[in-house]
Amino acid sequence: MDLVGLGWRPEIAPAILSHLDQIDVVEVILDDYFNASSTKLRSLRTLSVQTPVVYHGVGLGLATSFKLNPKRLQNLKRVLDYLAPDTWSEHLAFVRAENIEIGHLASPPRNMQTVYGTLENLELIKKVVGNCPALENVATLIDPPHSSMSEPQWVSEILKGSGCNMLLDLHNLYSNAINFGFDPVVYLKSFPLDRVQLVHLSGGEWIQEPQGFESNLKGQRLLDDHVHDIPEIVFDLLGVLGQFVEQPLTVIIERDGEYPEFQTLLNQINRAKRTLKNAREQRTSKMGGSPECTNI
Amino acid sequence: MPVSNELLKWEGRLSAQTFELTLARLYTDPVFRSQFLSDSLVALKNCELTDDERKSLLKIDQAGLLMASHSFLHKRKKRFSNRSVLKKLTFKLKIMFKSLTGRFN
Repeated sequence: MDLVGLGWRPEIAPAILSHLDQIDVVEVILDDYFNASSTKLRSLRTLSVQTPVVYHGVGLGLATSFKLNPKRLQNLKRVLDYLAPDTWSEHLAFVRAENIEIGHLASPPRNMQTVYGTLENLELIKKVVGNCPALENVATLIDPPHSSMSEPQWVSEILKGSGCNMLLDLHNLYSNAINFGFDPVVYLKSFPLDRVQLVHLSGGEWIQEPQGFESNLKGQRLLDDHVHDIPEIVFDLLGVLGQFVEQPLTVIIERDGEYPEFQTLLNQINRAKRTLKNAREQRTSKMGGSPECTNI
Repeated sequence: MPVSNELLKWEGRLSAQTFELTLARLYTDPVFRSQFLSDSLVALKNCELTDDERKSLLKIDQAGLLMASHSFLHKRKKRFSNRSVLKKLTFKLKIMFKSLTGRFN
């Protein structure tokens, strides 16, 4: 069964709690609980009794040839040991190199060296934590240098080598497609969609390219910022995904600021539910000629 | 592709790490980035990169580099400011708790 819900943020937590009848699932940021007291961790358990909860990491930075920071890994283990969730996720992101903190989720060079480094880090995670996160595609404003693979190829290699599932962020996917000249639907279909377990929906804004620098693009790029509403095309992509795959999806709407009236977020949840329901119905009516996933 | 012992000893790790360090510096160090954008060859002179790695940086998407670096800086500032606010709030709460319970040290 498909589930649609919302990212748990302190600013909207009371509203989420009073509308749990309309929210199938909430997603909690794991890193917010790395130094949490046992009382705060217990509150998470209480939340998970009230509603299904999925957990999401944002700072491991596992897509690198450097080994994971052992302290971060131990913090993660402590929280996951306590919560024992069925599902958790992390980004396929380059966040730090040795002592240099990039501070956000950069896209690493997409080549076999970063595939190997990421697989090694995932092996370590499995050894320490006991299971594997669903891996999220990240948005990028720069075509990562020293890349020899496309993003779908690079992600596919990591999923194949690790056995992990995928968290497909449809706004990240849309941003990368549109910023680097791909058709979003064709780009979507080139990911290993049979491995998608979780989905993120969010919004962003167009920003101008700086003057005086060479670029093959159109003078502006789409920044994934989670503080704008979800664009129509992202719902359309959810519909394509829902028609394309058989497995149930857990869809999370991410909003990190400039919060609208809570009803707007509820409307987006309902919109996503309707989109998925229609897509599943169309899939069922087309059964017998179901499409297959392809890789580029 | 099963993860094997071979993979754990994969070649090119040091080179990949040097490249990632250089890329992380370009993203986060405004002086290095500025040197790189005005004269890439000179800026990369002391970086121990392979020819392929050096070439890839010489043809880097410069507009994207500036946009991404700006976005990362914004995120770092935001995170730092959130932490400061949190620290101040925790400190205030501790003071309040102490005054309410009469636990002055």
